[in-house]
Parts: sequence; C-alpha cells; structure tokens
Amino acid sequence: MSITLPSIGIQDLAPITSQSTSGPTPNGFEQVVEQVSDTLKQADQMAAGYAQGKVGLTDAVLASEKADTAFQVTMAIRNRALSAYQEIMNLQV
Amino acid sequence: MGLDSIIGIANSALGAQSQRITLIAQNLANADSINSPDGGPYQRRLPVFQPVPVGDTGDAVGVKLADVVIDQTPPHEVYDPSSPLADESGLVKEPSVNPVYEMVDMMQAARSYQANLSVVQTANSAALRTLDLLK
Repeated sequence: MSITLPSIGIQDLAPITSQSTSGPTPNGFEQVVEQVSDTLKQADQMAAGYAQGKVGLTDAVLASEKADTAFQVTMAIRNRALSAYQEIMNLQV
Repeated sequence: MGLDSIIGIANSALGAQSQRITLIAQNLANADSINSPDGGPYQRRLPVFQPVPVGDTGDAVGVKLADVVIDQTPPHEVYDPSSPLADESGLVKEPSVNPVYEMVDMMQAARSYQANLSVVQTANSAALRTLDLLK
C-alpha cells in the first residue's frame, strides 16, 4: 500500500496566476486536487476491499485517515487562496 | 518522510502485533491439544519480528513478522494411565503452553498495538493543528 500525501508548497500554487489565461493545461493546484481525489478513491477501494475480506482493517482505516487529512489540507489551501482573492476584489479603488 | 511514512511505519507495527495476537490465540486454544497432526502434543508458537523498509523511498523502517519459531521446551508429562495416549509408564505428554505467559504476552501485544495507534493519532492531530495556522 503506498499512498503519497501530496506536498503542497508555494511553487505548486504559483502556476495558477501564470497559466490562468493559457488554455486548459492542468496547473499545480489542479494536479494536487487530482492527487487527493485519487487518494480518496483509493481509500474507498480499501474500504470495499475490507468488506470483501481482501484488505486488513488497519490498512483500510489508515488509508481513509490519510485521505481525510490530505483532503483537509487541500481544503485549507483552497480556502486560503480564495480568501486572498476575495480580499483583493473587495479593495476600494 | 512525513505523515505518510509515520502512518506506514505504524501500520506495519499494527499488522505485526495483530499477527502476534493471532499466535497467542493459537497457543491458548491449543493449550490442551495433546495429539497434534505431526505427532506428540501441540508445541507453542513464538513470533520473530524484524525491521523492514516501508513505503516507496525505503528510508522509513517498519516491522514485520519474519518467522514463527516453535518453542522447544519439552512437553509436560502428566500421570494418567487411563488415557489411550499414555505411554507404558502411564505418562501423557501435554503441551508446554502456560496460559499465564500467554496472557502476559497478550497484554504486551495489546499495549504495543495501542501505542502504535497513538502514534497515528498524534501524527495526524499534529498535521491538522499545523493546518489551523492558516485559519
């Protein structure tokens, strides 16, 4: 079992601004979201595997725990980015 | 390294400890088995643990059940001439399993399991608390 928690740094978020006008190539944050989505899917599969008796209880529970943490990290970053955007949009000119 | 390897290491330990509890269950269940398929009384099984790299990078070291060895303590001899398994001097060989040892071993395994669960819990809450910095 190997689920990697995506490392999220400033450099991952940087392409959002630089690529927002240049077509549909996935940017850093999108990749992170996709990775987290994969992690969540894997956790779901582990849960199903446990129900079928193919995966151990600890494997299933820890995979779901990991996926949950990864999701919360993503949400925190997203909220942070969004609130920065909103703050700028609300600037009085 | 990071949360992923901590959870990987703790997961390997949880697996190893539950295998250990499985062996204890086996020993306790067979404490009175005087006639095992390979002849003679049941012999106590003991786990042997070994460090093992976990995860993709290999710098995290977990644990695994490397081997199951058989306790070579000679069986107890109990005088019971009425038993069909008694030898010519009326002695029956009984397993060397001591339920008290097994119970103590089980407590140790359960504590170790708990400790490793706490590791996961601590690592996770540390990560989530770090996230709270963003709020």
